[in-house]
Amino acid sequence: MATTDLDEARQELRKLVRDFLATVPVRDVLEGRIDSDVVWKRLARELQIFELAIPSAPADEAPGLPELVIVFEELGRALTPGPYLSTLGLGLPALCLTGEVSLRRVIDRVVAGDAVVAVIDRDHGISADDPHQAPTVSGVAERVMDAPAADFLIVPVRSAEGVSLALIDVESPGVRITAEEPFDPTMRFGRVELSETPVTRVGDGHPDMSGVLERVETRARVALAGFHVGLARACVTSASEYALVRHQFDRPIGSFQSIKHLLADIHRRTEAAAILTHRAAWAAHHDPDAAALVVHLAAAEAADAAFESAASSIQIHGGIGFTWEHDAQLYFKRATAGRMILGTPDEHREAAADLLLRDGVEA
Amino acid sequence: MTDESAGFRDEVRGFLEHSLPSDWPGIGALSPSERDRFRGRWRQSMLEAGLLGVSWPREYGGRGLGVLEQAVVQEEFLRAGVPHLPFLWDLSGLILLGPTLLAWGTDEQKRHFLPRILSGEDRWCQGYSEPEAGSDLFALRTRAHLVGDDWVLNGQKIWTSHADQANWIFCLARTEPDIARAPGISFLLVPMDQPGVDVRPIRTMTGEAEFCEVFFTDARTRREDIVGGRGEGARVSLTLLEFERSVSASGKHIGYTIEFERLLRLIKSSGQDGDPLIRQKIARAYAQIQVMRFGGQAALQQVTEGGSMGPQASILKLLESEYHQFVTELAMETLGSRALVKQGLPGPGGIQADPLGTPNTVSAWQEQYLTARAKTIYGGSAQIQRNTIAERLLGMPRER
Repeated sequence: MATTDLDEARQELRKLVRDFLATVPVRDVLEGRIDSDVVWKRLARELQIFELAIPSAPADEAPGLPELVIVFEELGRALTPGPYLSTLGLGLPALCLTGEVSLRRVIDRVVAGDAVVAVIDRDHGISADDPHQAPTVSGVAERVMDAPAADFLIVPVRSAEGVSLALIDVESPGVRITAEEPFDPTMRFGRVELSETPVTRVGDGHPDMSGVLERVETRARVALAGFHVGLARACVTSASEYALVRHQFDRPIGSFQSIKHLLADIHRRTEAAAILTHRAAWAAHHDPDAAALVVHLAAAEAADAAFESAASSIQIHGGIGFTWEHDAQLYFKRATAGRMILGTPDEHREAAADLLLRDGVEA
Repeated sequence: MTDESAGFRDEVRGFLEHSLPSDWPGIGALSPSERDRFRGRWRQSMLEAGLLGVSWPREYGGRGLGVLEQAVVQEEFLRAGVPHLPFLWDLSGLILLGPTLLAWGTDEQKRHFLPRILSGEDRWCQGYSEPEAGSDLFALRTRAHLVGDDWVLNGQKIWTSHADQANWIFCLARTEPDIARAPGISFLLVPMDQPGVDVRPIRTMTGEAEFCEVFFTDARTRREDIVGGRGEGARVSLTLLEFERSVSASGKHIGYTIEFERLLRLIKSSGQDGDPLIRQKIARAYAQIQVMRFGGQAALQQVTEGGSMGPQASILKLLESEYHQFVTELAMETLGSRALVKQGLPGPGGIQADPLGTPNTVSAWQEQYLTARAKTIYGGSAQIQRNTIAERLLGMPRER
């Protein structure tokens, strides 16, 4: 596909998602006027964009991660609550990349918007009851993203052969999920208690399940970076608009250099992060084995851009930005939470430095 | 995009292979006197191979190719460790004035000046800033008025790079005394080899004299040596600033990657590759290089497709200037107390990152560290870039 055709297709996708999300404001969801499950299902069925989260073969021309990033940018801009990162960033790619044919039905349900998958990260407190068999697992995991909304849980478990994934239907015996009150109201977390819970083991025969999990995390980091870029852009836009209408000393505050320079800095940091994020999406889609470096860099820069933009937006809005009524607080809380998911910016930079010092660079 | 220029890239690689010894270490490895001798020879080889003015029309001595091919020369030359603009004045002639003449010049100006830029007969410098007109460029005071068939100039320019090596200066002067600010300014081409032009080098904090003051005292140039019309100098100069920022955007990352590779070696050899604070900065630095790389590619594509970089250029300019301060500060931090004294040979330095082959010496890093301070001042200060971003990209009202 020629570059311009590709660009046009992506612009259409962006507009499609943006126009839809504009009809479901975050406030209406948080205050119960709109059901986030309905938004989730409509995005799946009317916009049919969940398929973008299915990893395609490398170098495939079909739409994939670069397009999914656009969806996440728009979700970040609108701050739409829902299990997007857990299910589309982590869960669905994990199910697909195991190569397990028996999962087809679950995958179809997810793509249709009928099932939410929460993924418990690797450092949890859950283990197989019998490491050789693992028909059941037990243990506790806290702060599991989107667990209260989940239909399925995925738990990486250690077995004699290495790592495998355990798929759990939340209706199974011994599953107890308790919602935890989130710092950021647009996110959901839950405490998962499992007691001799029967599981379906997937990827047992897979030669490199650890590699699969890394690829899944890489994809999710790209999606989250996209979310952060969109969130940051929303803050730049909102702060810019306010700087034009708010007058002090008989002038719009946007005419003062102190405000202009704050705006210029968050704008250019955001656009720099966007450049890295798009490159990271390209790399993770076309050359996943070589994508780690740019993905870590994008993840760190996008998370920082989101935080700085959200913080400066509050500063530029002044007192109104500190109120409950104004959305600035929602963006700030989400940007803060985003720094603690799938690695902090410091951890991403540490990982990037490790690769740079190990592999060197080529001009 | 790469396919179209692939044949040309092969040609450039062939030229490099043929012109350089197989063990060529990069111009940075030469001694200062060897470097100077090399530059002259190298320019001549480029000229003969048709690799100067690649994007200029053939009728003026160019190759008649596009911006893409020009970028290919820059990329391949940087990677090979040879200069694509051999002399400092080549930047002013080939990158700044040439494209401006192509956009604004008369046929006669193009026919006369462009081939002489290529041959090196005319060595240009740029006379914009004045003591009282820095960021507020269009407050400039240098005046020119017609006496017979000549413009007669009086005034003072400052921060003119390499004016001591140039024999022509393109400059902005006030030709319409009754019209204030930008509309009263014209763009003039002035020979420097005359009694009315006095050049005095300015020694900067690096100890070198990269810049000069230029004094005009009844200096003369012909009536027709004006580019654009009377009063159009501001517009002409803005085109030129755009060239200045956009043309090299696509290749910058290569020079900075070469420099960054040298920094990684410095960090390892000084045993600081385990320092978590240094490691954080390594990642921060490399992220900026990648933004230059992919942002530069996007900019090049935009220019190739007939667009202009516009105010987006301000984002890359700001990023690059602050990046180079950040990375040279990191080098000094890595050197620690070793940076208290000078040691070893400095690199070729100048406003570019030190090229391939530059020794990893204390002196080379010290010099780049100092030079980097100028980058957030010249070519539109970091504060002016932020104003531009806020006003032209985000729609903020102009001040006053």
